[in-house]
Amino acid sequence: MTKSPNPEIIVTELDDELVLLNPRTQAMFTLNGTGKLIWQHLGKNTAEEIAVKITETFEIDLETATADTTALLESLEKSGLLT
Amino acid sequence: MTDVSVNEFDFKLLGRQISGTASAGAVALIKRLFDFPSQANALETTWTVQVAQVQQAIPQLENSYLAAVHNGSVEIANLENSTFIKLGDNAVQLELRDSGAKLTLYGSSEGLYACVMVGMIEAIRASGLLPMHTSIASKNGVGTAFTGESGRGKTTTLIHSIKAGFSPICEDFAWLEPSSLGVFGCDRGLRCLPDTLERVKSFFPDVQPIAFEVDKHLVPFEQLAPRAWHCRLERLWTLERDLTKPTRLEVLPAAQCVMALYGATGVPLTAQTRALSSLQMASLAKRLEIRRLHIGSTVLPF
Repeated sequence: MTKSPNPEIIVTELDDELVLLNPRTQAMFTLNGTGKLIWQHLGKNTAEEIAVKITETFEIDLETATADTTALLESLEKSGLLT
Repeated sequence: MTDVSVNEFDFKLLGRQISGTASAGAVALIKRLFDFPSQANALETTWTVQVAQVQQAIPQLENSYLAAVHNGSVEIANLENSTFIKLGDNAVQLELRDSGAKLTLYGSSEGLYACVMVGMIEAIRASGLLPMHTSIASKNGVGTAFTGESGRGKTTTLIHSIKAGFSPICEDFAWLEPSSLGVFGCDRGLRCLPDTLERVKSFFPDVQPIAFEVDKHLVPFEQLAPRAWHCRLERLWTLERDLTKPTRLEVLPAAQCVMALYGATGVPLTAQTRALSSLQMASLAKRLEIRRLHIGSTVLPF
Protein backbone atom coordinates (compact mmCIF):
# COMPACT_ATOMS: atom_id res chain seq x y z
CA MET A 1 0.00 0.00 0.00
CA THR A 2 1.40 3.42 -0.97
CA LYS A 3 1.18 6.48 1.22
CA SER A 4 0.92 9.95 -0.30
CA PRO A 5 2.07 13.35 0.93
CA ASN A 6 -0.72 15.42 2.42
CA PRO A 7 -1.36 17.97 -0.38
CA GLU A 8 -1.76 20.76 2.17
CA ILE A 9 1.82 20.43 3.38
CA ILE A 10 4.12 23.26 2.32
CA VAL A 11 7.37 21.75 1.12
CA THR A 12 10.54 23.84 0.88
CA GLU A 13 13.33 22.09 -0.95
CA LEU A 14 16.88 22.88 0.10
CA ASP A 15 20.07 21.39 -1.34
CA ASP A 16 20.12 18.15 0.64
CA GLU A 17 17.07 18.38 2.88
CA LEU A 18 13.41 19.29 2.97
CA VAL A 19 11.46 21.52 5.32
CA LEU A 20 7.81 20.51 5.73
CA LEU A 21 5.27 22.92 7.19
CA ASN A 22 1.82 21.72 8.24
CA PRO A 23 -0.38 24.81 7.85
CA ARG A 24 -3.08 23.40 10.14
CA THR A 25 -0.77 22.99 13.11
CA GLN A 26 1.98 25.39 12.01
CA ALA A 27 4.44 22.63 12.98
CA MET A 28 7.62 22.35 10.93
CA PHE A 29 9.67 19.25 10.22
CA THR A 30 13.07 18.76 8.63
CA LEU A 31 13.98 15.72 6.53
CA ASN A 32 17.61 14.85 5.80
CA GLY A 33 18.83 13.41 2.52
CA THR A 34 17.36 9.97 3.18
CA GLY A 35 14.08 11.43 4.38
CA LYS A 36 13.97 13.68 1.32
CA LEU A 37 14.36 10.68 -0.96
CA ILE A 38 11.59 8.83 0.90
CA TRP A 39 9.26 11.85 0.67
CA GLN A 40 9.91 12.25 -3.05
CA HIS A 41 8.86 8.65 -3.73
CA LEU A 42 5.70 8.76 -1.63
CA GLY A 43 2.55 8.16 -3.64
CA LYS A 44 4.50 6.39 -6.35
CA ASN A 45 6.20 3.53 -4.52
CA THR A 46 5.49 1.20 -1.63
CA ALA A 47 7.61 1.34 1.52
CA GLU A 48 9.46 -1.76 0.34
CA GLU A 49 10.21 -0.20 -3.05
CA ILE A 50 11.38 3.01 -1.41
CA ALA A 51 13.72 1.03 0.85
CA VAL A 52 15.31 -0.56 -2.24
CA LYS A 53 15.81 2.89 -3.76
CA ILE A 54 17.55 4.01 -0.59
CA THR A 55 20.02 1.13 -0.86
CA GLU A 56 20.71 2.20 -4.45
CA THR A 57 21.47 5.78 -3.42
CA PHE A 58 23.10 5.47 -0.01
CA GLU A 59 25.55 2.93 1.37
CA ILE A 60 23.03 1.14 3.52
CA ASP A 61 21.73 -2.43 3.66
CA LEU A 62 18.14 -3.33 2.84
CA GLU A 63 17.23 -4.32 6.38
CA THR A 64 18.32 -0.96 7.79
CA ALA A 65 16.72 0.94 4.89
CA THR A 66 13.42 -0.88 5.42
CA ALA A 67 13.48 -0.14 9.15
CA ASP A 68 14.34 3.54 8.52
CA THR A 69 11.61 3.91 5.90
CA THR A 70 8.97 2.28 8.09
CA ALA A 71 9.92 4.43 11.08
CA LEU A 72 9.85 7.64 9.07
CA LEU A 73 6.50 6.82 7.46
CA GLU A 74 4.99 6.17 10.89
CA SER A 75 6.36 9.45 12.17
CA LEU A 76 5.12 11.39 9.12
CA GLU A 77 1.68 9.82 9.44
CA LYS A 78 1.42 10.65 13.14
CA SER A 79 2.29 14.26 12.33
CA GLY A 80 -0.48 14.56 9.74
CA LEU A 81 1.92 14.82 6.84
CA LEU A 82 0.51 11.85 4.90
CA THR A 83 -2.89 10.91 3.52
CA MET B 1 -21.66 46.43 17.62
CA THR B 2 -22.90 46.35 14.03
CA ASP B 3 -21.64 48.61 11.29
CA VAL B 4 -23.94 48.48 8.24
CA SER B 5 -22.97 51.59 6.28
CA VAL B 6 -21.10 50.88 3.05
CA ASN B 7 -18.26 53.05 1.86
CA GLU B 8 -16.16 53.09 -1.29
CA PHE B 9 -12.38 53.18 -1.33
CA ASP B 10 -9.68 53.13 -3.96
CA PHE B 11 -5.93 53.41 -3.48
CA LYS B 12 -2.66 51.79 -4.46
CA LEU B 13 -0.15 49.88 -2.36
CA LEU B 14 3.17 49.12 -4.05
CA GLY B 15 1.43 49.29 -7.42
CA ARG B 16 -1.42 47.00 -6.39
CA GLN B 17 -4.80 48.65 -7.06
CA ILE B 18 -7.01 48.11 -4.01
CA SER B 19 -10.62 49.17 -4.31
CA GLY B 20 -14.20 48.31 -3.52
CA THR B 21 -16.90 48.77 -0.95
CA ALA B 22 -17.06 47.77 2.70
CA SER B 23 -18.47 48.89 6.02
CA ALA B 24 -17.00 52.08 7.42
CA GLY B 25 -15.10 50.13 10.07
CA ALA B 26 -13.63 47.70 7.54
CA VAL B 27 -12.62 50.54 5.22
CA ALA B 28 -10.93 52.35 8.11
CA LEU B 29 -9.01 49.18 8.96
CA ILE B 30 -7.98 48.55 5.34
CA LYS B 31 -6.78 52.11 4.95
CA ARG B 32 -4.93 52.08 8.27
CA LEU B 33 -3.07 48.86 7.46
CA PHE B 34 -2.53 49.16 3.71
CA ASP B 35 -2.89 52.77 2.53
CA PHE B 36 0.52 54.43 2.65
CA PRO B 37 0.61 57.14 -0.04
CA SER B 38 4.40 57.22 -0.06
CA GLN B 39 4.38 53.50 -0.96
CA ALA B 40 1.56 53.69 -3.52
CA ASN B 41 3.66 53.50 -6.65
CA ALA B 42 6.97 52.19 -5.31
CA LEU B 43 6.56 49.04 -7.44
CA GLU B 44 4.87 48.38 -10.78
CA THR B 45 2.26 45.68 -11.33
CA THR B 46 -1.19 45.19 -12.80
CA TRP B 47 -2.36 43.18 -9.76
CA THR B 48 -5.71 44.28 -8.36
CA VAL B 49 -7.56 43.55 -5.15
CA GLN B 50 -11.31 44.07 -5.33
CA VAL B 51 -13.39 44.13 -2.18
CA ALA B 52 -17.18 43.84 -1.99
CA GLN B 53 -19.50 43.65 0.99
CA VAL B 54 -22.53 41.38 0.60
CA GLN B 55 -25.62 40.90 2.74
CA GLN B 56 -25.77 37.11 2.51
CA ALA B 57 -25.40 34.18 4.84
CA ILE B 58 -21.99 32.53 5.01
CA PRO B 59 -22.03 29.19 3.14
CA GLN B 60 -21.60 26.01 5.18
CA LEU B 61 -17.87 25.35 5.59
CA GLU B 62 -16.40 21.86 5.85
CA ASN B 63 -12.96 20.60 6.77
CA SER B 64 -12.00 23.93 8.26
CA TYR B 65 -9.22 24.53 10.77
CA LEU B 66 -8.21 27.25 13.20
CA ALA B 67 -5.28 29.47 12.25
CA ALA B 68 -3.55 31.67 14.79
CA VAL B 69 -3.59 35.35 13.90
CA HIS B 70 -2.74 38.51 15.76
CA ASN B 71 -4.75 38.54 19.02
CA GLY B 72 -6.59 35.26 18.44
CA SER B 73 -7.51 32.83 15.72
CA VAL B 74 -9.75 32.56 12.66
CA GLU B 75 -11.33 29.58 10.95
CA ILE B 76 -9.89 28.70 7.53
CA ALA B 77 -11.69 26.59 4.92
CA ASN B 78 -10.25 25.93 1.47
CA LEU B 79 -12.98 25.27 -1.09
CA GLU B 80 -12.40 24.31 -4.70
CA ASN B 81 -11.94 27.83 -6.03
CA SER B 82 -11.81 30.01 -2.97
CA THR B 83 -10.72 30.27 0.64
CA PHE B 84 -12.97 31.34 3.50
CA ILE B 85 -11.63 33.13 6.54
CA LYS B 86 -14.31 33.09 9.24
CA LEU B 87 -14.75 34.47 12.72
CA GLY B 88 -18.14 34.16 14.39
CA ASP B 89 -20.84 35.52 12.11
CA ASN B 90 -18.28 37.21 9.86
CA ALA B 91 -16.21 35.90 6.98
CA VAL B 92 -14.12 36.90 4.01
CA GLN B 93 -14.12 34.82 0.85
CA LEU B 94 -10.87 35.09 -1.09
CA GLU B 95 -10.83 34.19 -4.77
CA LEU B 96 -7.52 34.34 -6.64
CA ARG B 97 -7.35 34.99 -10.36
CA ASP B 98 -4.51 35.42 -12.85
CA SER B 99 -4.22 39.16 -12.39
CA GLY B 100 -5.75 39.81 -9.01
CA ALA B 101 -7.83 38.81 -6.05
CA LYS B 102 -11.45 39.27 -5.08
CA LEU B 103 -12.52 39.57 -1.46
CA THR B 104 -16.17 39.15 -0.55
CA LEU B 105 -17.08 40.32 2.94
CA TYR B 106 -19.85 38.64 4.94
CA GLY B 107 -21.09 40.16 8.19
CA SER B 108 -20.38 43.55 9.67
CA SER B 109 -19.54 43.18 13.34
CA GLU B 110 -16.07 43.59 14.81
CA GLY B 111 -15.11 39.97 14.09
CA LEU B 112 -15.01 40.94 10.43
CA TYR B 113 -11.88 43.02 10.93
CA ALA B 114 -9.57 40.08 11.68
CA CYS B 115 -10.96 38.28 8.62
CA VAL B 116 -10.38 41.34 6.43
CA MET B 117 -6.81 41.74 7.67
CA VAL B 118 -5.97 38.08 6.98
CA GLY B 119 -7.75 38.13 3.62
CA MET B 120 -6.05 41.32 2.47
CA ILE B 121 -2.62 40.03 3.44
CA GLU B 122 -3.27 36.80 1.56
CA ALA B 123 -4.58 38.69 -1.49
CA ILE B 124 -1.40 40.75 -1.64
CA ARG B 125 0.82 37.75 -0.85
CA ALA B 126 -0.65 36.09 -3.94
CA SER B 127 0.73 38.95 -6.03
CA GLY B 128 4.27 37.85 -5.17
CA LEU B 129 5.05 39.97 -2.12
CA LEU B 130 5.75 38.53 1.31
CA PRO B 131 4.33 40.06 4.49
CA MET B 132 7.07 40.65 7.03
CA HIS B 133 5.91 40.72 10.65
CA THR B 134 9.17 42.24 11.84
CA SER B 135 10.83 45.45 12.79
CA ILE B 136 13.38 46.64 10.24
CA ALA B 137 16.21 49.15 10.38
CA SER B 138 18.43 50.32 7.54
CA LYS B 139 21.81 51.90 7.14
CA ASN B 140 23.25 52.99 3.80
CA GLY B 141 20.24 51.42 2.09
CA VAL B 142 20.87 47.96 3.59
CA GLY B 143 18.21 46.56 5.89
CA THR B 144 18.20 44.23 8.88
CA ALA B 145 14.92 42.68 9.99
CA PHE B 146 14.35 41.70 13.61
CA THR B 147 11.86 38.91 14.08
CA GLY B 148 10.66 36.72 16.91
CA GLU B 149 7.62 35.93 18.96
CA SER B 150 5.88 38.71 20.83
CA GLY B 151 7.97 39.97 23.74
CA ARG B 152 11.32 38.87 22.33
CA GLY B 153 12.49 42.45 21.75
CA LYS B 154 11.66 43.51 18.18
CA THR B 155 10.80 47.05 19.23
CA THR B 156 13.62 47.36 21.76
CA THR B 157 16.18 46.12 19.23
CA LEU B 158 14.84 48.61 16.71
CA ILE B 159 15.22 51.41 19.26
CA HIS B 160 18.83 50.39 19.92
CA SER B 161 19.55 50.30 16.19
CA ILE B 162 18.08 53.78 15.70
CA LYS B 163 20.22 55.08 18.55
CA ALA B 164 23.21 53.50 16.77
CA GLY B 165 22.49 55.50 13.62
CA PHE B 166 20.10 53.26 11.67
CA SER B 167 16.91 54.57 10.08
CA PRO B 168 13.60 52.92 10.96
CA ILE B 169 11.77 51.17 8.11
CA CYS B 170 9.02 49.64 10.27
CA GLU B 171 8.28 48.54 13.80
CA ASP B 172 5.83 45.75 13.04
CA PHE B 173 5.00 45.26 9.39
CA ALA B 174 6.56 45.54 5.93
CA TRP B 175 6.23 44.00 2.47
CA LEU B 176 9.16 42.20 0.89
CA GLU B 177 9.63 41.80 -2.85
CA PRO B 178 11.65 38.56 -2.89
CA SER B 179 13.05 39.01 -6.41
CA SER B 180 14.75 42.32 -5.62
CA LEU B 181 14.94 41.96 -1.82
CA GLY B 182 13.29 45.38 -1.69
CA VAL B 183 11.47 45.83 1.60
CA PHE B 184 8.80 48.48 2.15
CA GLY B 185 7.73 49.64 5.59
CA CYS B 186 4.05 49.97 6.48
CA ASP B 187 4.16 51.60 9.90
CA ARG B 188 3.81 55.19 10.96
CA GLY B 189 5.93 54.91 14.08
CA LEU B 190 6.48 53.02 17.29
CA ARG B 191 3.26 51.86 18.95
CA CYS B 192 4.08 51.85 22.62
CA LEU B 193 2.50 50.49 25.76
CA PRO B 194 3.54 52.45 28.87
CA ASP B 195 6.66 50.38 29.62
CA THR B 196 7.90 50.64 26.02
CA LEU B 197 7.20 54.36 26.01
CA GLU B 198 9.37 54.81 29.08
CA ARG B 199 12.17 52.89 27.33
CA VAL B 200 11.83 55.10 24.24
CA LYS B 201 11.95 58.24 26.40
CA SER B 202 15.10 57.01 28.11
CA PHE B 203 16.82 56.98 24.71
CA PHE B 204 14.96 59.92 23.12
CA PRO B 205 13.86 62.32 25.90
CA ASP B 206 12.40 64.88 23.48
CA VAL B 207 9.77 62.69 21.82
CA GLN B 208 6.17 63.85 21.84
CA PRO B 209 4.05 60.70 21.74
CA ILE B 210 0.51 60.76 20.38
CA ALA B 211 -2.12 58.89 22.39
CA PHE B 212 -4.24 56.70 20.11
CA GLU B 213 -5.84 54.05 22.33
CA VAL B 214 -6.21 53.49 26.04
CA ASP B 215 -2.65 53.06 27.34
CA LYS B 216 -1.14 53.18 23.83
CA HIS B 217 0.96 55.90 22.26
CA LEU B 218 2.42 56.40 18.81
CA VAL B 219 5.89 57.84 18.50
CA PRO B 220 6.25 58.88 14.84
CA PHE B 221 9.50 57.63 13.34
CA GLU B 222 10.35 61.17 12.26
CA GLN B 223 10.77 62.12 15.94
CA LEU B 224 13.52 59.50 16.32
CA ALA B 225 15.57 59.62 13.12
CA PRO B 226 15.30 60.41 9.42
CA ARG B 227 12.56 58.12 8.12
CA ALA B 228 13.42 55.54 5.44
CA TRP B 229 10.45 53.92 3.68
CA HIS B 230 12.33 51.18 1.89
CA CYS B 231 15.70 49.51 1.56
CA ARG B 232 17.33 46.33 0.33
CA LEU B 233 16.90 43.58 2.91
CA GLU B 234 20.13 41.68 3.47
CA ARG B 235 19.85 40.35 7.03
CA LEU B 236 17.21 38.67 9.16
CA TRP B 237 17.87 38.23 12.86
CA THR B 238 15.51 36.05 14.86
CA LEU B 239 15.54 37.18 18.48
CA GLU B 240 16.03 35.14 21.64
CA ARG B 241 16.62 36.46 25.15
CA ASP B 242 19.09 35.03 27.65
CA LEU B 243 20.43 37.71 29.95
CA THR B 244 22.72 35.23 31.73
CA LYS B 245 25.08 35.08 28.73
CA PRO B 246 26.82 37.61 26.52
CA THR B 247 24.96 38.85 23.45
CA ARG B 248 25.93 36.88 20.36
CA LEU B 249 24.90 36.12 16.78
CA GLU B 250 24.50 32.46 15.86
CA VAL B 251 24.74 31.15 12.30
CA LEU B 252 21.74 28.93 11.52
CA PRO B 253 21.55 25.77 9.41
CA ALA B 254 19.56 26.14 6.18
CA ALA B 255 16.45 24.39 7.53
CA GLN B 256 16.33 26.70 10.54
CA CYS B 257 16.71 29.67 8.18
CA VAL B 258 13.54 28.51 6.41
CA MET B 259 11.79 28.16 9.76
CA ALA B 260 12.86 31.69 10.71
CA LEU B 261 11.52 32.97 7.39
CA TYR B 262 8.14 31.32 7.92
CA GLY B 263 8.13 32.75 11.44
CA ALA B 264 8.58 36.22 9.95
CA THR B 265 6.23 35.90 6.98
CA GLY B 266 3.47 33.68 8.39
CA VAL B 267 1.83 30.59 6.99
CA PRO B 268 0.19 31.01 3.57
CA LEU B 269 -3.44 29.89 3.37
CA THR B 270 -4.18 28.98 -0.23
CA ALA B 271 -2.75 26.35 -2.58
CA GLN B 272 -1.44 29.11 -4.86
CA THR B 273 0.32 31.08 -2.13
CA ARG B 274 1.74 27.91 -0.58
CA ALA B 275 3.34 26.89 -3.88
CA LEU B 276 4.69 30.40 -4.34
CA SER B 277 6.01 30.59 -0.77
CA SER B 278 7.95 27.35 -0.93
CA LEU B 279 9.96 28.66 -3.89
CA GLN B 280 10.43 32.08 -2.26
CA MET B 281 11.63 30.56 1.03
CA ALA B 282 14.20 28.29 -0.62
CA SER B 283 15.61 31.25 -2.51
CA LEU B 284 15.58 33.66 0.45
CA ALA B 285 17.25 31.12 2.74
CA LYS B 286 20.26 31.28 0.40
CA ARG B 287 20.25 35.00 -0.33
CA LEU B 288 19.63 36.49 3.11
CA GLU B 289 22.09 36.44 5.97
CA ILE B 290 19.89 34.79 8.59
CA ARG B 291 21.11 34.62 12.18
CA ARG B 292 19.74 34.04 15.65
CA LEU B 293 20.50 37.04 17.86
CA HIS B 294 20.82 35.91 21.47
CA ILE B 295 20.13 39.10 23.38
CA GLY B 296 22.23 38.80 26.48
CA SER B 297 24.12 40.81 29.01
CA THR B 298 26.38 42.72 26.59
CA VAL B 299 25.67 45.40 23.99
CA LEU B 300 23.86 44.64 20.74
CA PRO B 301 26.07 44.21 17.66
CA PHE B 302 25.43 47.49 15.86
